[in-house]
Amino acid sequence: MSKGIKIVFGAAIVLILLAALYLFYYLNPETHSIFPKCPFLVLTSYECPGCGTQRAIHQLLHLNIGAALKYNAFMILAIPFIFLGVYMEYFGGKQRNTKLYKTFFGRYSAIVILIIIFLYWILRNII
Amino acid sequence: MEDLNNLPPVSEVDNQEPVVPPVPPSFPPYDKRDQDIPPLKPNNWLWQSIVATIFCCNILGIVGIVYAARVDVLYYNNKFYEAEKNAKNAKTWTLIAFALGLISIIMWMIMMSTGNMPSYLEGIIENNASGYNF
Repeated sequence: MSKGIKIVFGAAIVLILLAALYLFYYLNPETHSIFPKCPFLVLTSYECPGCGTQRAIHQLLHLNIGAALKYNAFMILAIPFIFLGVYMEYFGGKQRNTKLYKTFFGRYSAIVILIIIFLYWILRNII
Repeated sequence: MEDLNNLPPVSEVDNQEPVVPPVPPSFPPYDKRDQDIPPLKPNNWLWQSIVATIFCCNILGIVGIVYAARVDVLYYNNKFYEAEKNAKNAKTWTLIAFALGLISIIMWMIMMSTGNMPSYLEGIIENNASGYNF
């Protein structure tokens, strides 16, 4: 990809994200029905690891971290990790912070995350 | 005709000392050199697949995370070729999860705005609520 296309692509993604954040701030997914429901939840009536993300984002944008944790605790943990991944990949963090990169994207990180996700998936349906 | 007669007989040509080619400098075999300098770790799409898992309204992102974990395990066990293959799978599944999420979100919004969705959902809920739909 050439640099111009990359910039246009990035700008489009940022714009879509901002629009989505605006929606999630002003409308509560609990009461409005334009927000999509999880197909896994509809079909099996069990919650998947991503269920509750939209309600949690709404609460996070209103700075209710406790309520957000109640809806989807895994997402609250994952958001810093995702920002770290974006920084590492697109803003040169891989070269600048090799130590940080090794601790969070090193040998066992993917396995640890997989175990956390499956544990969260099972536990949230049991408790 | 004279030239042909002057040529040495065949048996003499065979007996001549063969020209020895210069011995090439010996390299270690290829697989050994590959172990000395491992290839770069393939991108395993770890955080992208997590994004897909959490935000794309489907669980296919988890398949991507499974492949990401396999990439790491294989790479650190010096199985570079398999790691590369699994990295490709991780990328494919993550992109499928993103695409499906995008399609389902757009479908949802269209159905909601046309007003077909509530009745459709009510149908599903009624079928499930009875509990004896088999």
